[in-house]
Amino acid sequence: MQLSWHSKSRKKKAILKAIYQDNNQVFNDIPVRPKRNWSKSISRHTPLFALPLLLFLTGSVDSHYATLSEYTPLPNIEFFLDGHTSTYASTDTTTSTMSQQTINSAFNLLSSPQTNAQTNESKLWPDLLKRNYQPTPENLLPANAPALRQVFGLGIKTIVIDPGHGGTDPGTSGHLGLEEKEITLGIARRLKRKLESSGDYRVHLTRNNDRSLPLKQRIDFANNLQADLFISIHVNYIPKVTNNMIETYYYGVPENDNEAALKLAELENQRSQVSLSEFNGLVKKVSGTLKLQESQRLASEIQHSLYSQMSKDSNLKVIDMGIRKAPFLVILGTEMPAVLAEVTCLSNREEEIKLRTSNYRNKIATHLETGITNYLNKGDFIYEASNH
Amino acid sequence: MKQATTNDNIKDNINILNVGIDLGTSRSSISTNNSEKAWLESYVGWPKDFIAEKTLGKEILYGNDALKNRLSVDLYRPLERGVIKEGIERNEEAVAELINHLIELSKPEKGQKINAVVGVPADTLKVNKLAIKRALNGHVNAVMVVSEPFSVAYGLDLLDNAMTIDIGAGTVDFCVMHGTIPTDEDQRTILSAGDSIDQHLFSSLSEKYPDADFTINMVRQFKEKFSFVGTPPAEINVEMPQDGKTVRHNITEEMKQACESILPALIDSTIDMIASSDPEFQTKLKKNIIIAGGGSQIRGLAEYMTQQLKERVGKCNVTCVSEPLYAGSDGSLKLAEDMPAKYWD
Repeated sequence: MQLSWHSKSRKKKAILKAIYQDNNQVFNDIPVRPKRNWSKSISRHTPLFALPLLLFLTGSVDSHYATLSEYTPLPNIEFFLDGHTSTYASTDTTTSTMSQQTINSAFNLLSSPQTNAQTNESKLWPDLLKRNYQPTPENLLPANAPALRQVFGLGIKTIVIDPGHGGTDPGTSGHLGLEEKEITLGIARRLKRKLESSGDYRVHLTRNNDRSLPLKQRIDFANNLQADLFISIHVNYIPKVTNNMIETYYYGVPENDNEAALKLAELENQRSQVSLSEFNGLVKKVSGTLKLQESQRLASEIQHSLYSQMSKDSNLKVIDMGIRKAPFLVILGTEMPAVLAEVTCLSNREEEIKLRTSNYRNKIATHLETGITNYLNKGDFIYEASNH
Repeated sequence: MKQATTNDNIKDNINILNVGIDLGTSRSSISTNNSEKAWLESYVGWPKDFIAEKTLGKEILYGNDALKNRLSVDLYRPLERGVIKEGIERNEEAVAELINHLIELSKPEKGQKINAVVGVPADTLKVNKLAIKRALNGHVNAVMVVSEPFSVAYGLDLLDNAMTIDIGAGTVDFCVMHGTIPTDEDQRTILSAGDSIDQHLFSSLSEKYPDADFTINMVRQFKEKFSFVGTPPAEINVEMPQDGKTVRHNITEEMKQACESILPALIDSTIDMIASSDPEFQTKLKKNIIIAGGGSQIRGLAEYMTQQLKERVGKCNVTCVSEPLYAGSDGSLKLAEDMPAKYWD
């Protein structure tokens, strides 16, 4: 559209004035309150009981704003520490949604043993008043609370699927020579098509052919895409085990010194291209409550779907190893909720024969899809009702 | 009245040097109203010791000079991923030196007042604004900081129903113009950019040719010479030393994969930006998608994007700027020239 000269001139003047005002604000330290459509940041269906949590995490509420639609909180957090009011100010004022950094900072502050933090929401969170209380992601929220993702209305748009191994790294292989890298790619491609068919998600594969790909590149790929979910697909091999086993991992230190989980993680982390300093940085990041909680929930839904469906499909006894924690770098380094699914066992001969077929790979992809969509639609009553 | 205004502006502009600066992760450029243009690599280096200083004959090195002598200097690339890394010693000093050197390259007259508009990646605007202001205190009369893709759009006179995509080394910046200054929601920065391609290509070549000797800088040069997406224009053979001998290596497939590695994020973000804009004007917006920055030189990119976007969101028109190196600084200069004098004081 060709703007008239007058129209263009007016627009230019307005733009130049706005640039001047914008720079003036920053240079004169005037707090910038980005205009935000509140309803885009927080779902309209935010449960009322979640509002105290929101207020707790955001801290001070500007009393000038009478209605929720005008609310544009600055990300400061106030705590009463040992009888004095202290303010933690997030430096992140450019994003229009609650930053994970703010949540992490609140969590870290609370979990300091020297802190005797009290808040004006004490009647709702009595545990926080206990001296030396150390909240963990699991007990920061009540067990039946909805996912933080739902509370803050965070959408899922981009999903990255990571077919394990590839190229010069075949992964494990069965007695008949079938290699893990081929199975993971076959399942991943099918899963991508299924998830994309709804039209709701953009799905990317870390690799779409048989090529080597270091763990760091898989991590960077997902982070650069700013993906919302990351699912890494692998196949197990348990010598001398005739049954099939299914397990799904999210990042963490395994309980009870689970050697098998540690050993598996060690094998998968080889050739990661991640340096020690990078690793330390990644470990610090993983304390993010949101990622941990969401990863756990995603793992749970995937595991449930895989186990329940494959038990029906298979003549073999299928062992449900459940969801487990293990220090896999590929799910540590990604900034979004991430899981690693050992979808089946290649050590079983019968299973290996079935895995050669397109039909069986398609079934596994379907079970994964069901697990993912169950996770994504959790709390959607219509979806849950239609699936029961 | 209009004539008088023009005369007033001319009076105001006497003895004022307006400069537009594009601060990039890999390259920075300057355009001025005395018709000078210059660019250099975004590196600054201080000699490590007095021997290095004596050998180099300079107290400070810039651009390719600093890069070539990197073994003798403390080398800084102060705009990694588009953000001035705060808290790291000398990073702000490096930015100040870089900008001042660019201004010197534009040959200002002695005593001339300098008004500067500096373009930086969109998402890093606030952080960088303060750092740049601190860095330039005392060196220029006044400075304003804007987002890079916005300055590109302004320079091309695309004030309405247009999107610029500035593909740099550290960042890819998007900006949708709809007749007003773009808000946070109209702009986006992603980190899947030129440096990602370099890293990808470096890893692939390391794996394919484990005995070849090459550096990330060499890989970057291969990319700048031969980058493409889609069908290769020709086989790409480059020379790399191997066990002391110069050997030709075919890197066609690796180059393709490396360049195409940034495409998913690029296409997805473009579609996101289109989808988030006012639905009434989306059709017009899709016809005005401009790619700028060094990444716009990837062969086949505009055609590839046009095709991909057509499949997913309907007919689009994607074109590249004619002068990618100076599109940002030319836009910043135009902003500086158009800015009323009262806003500079």
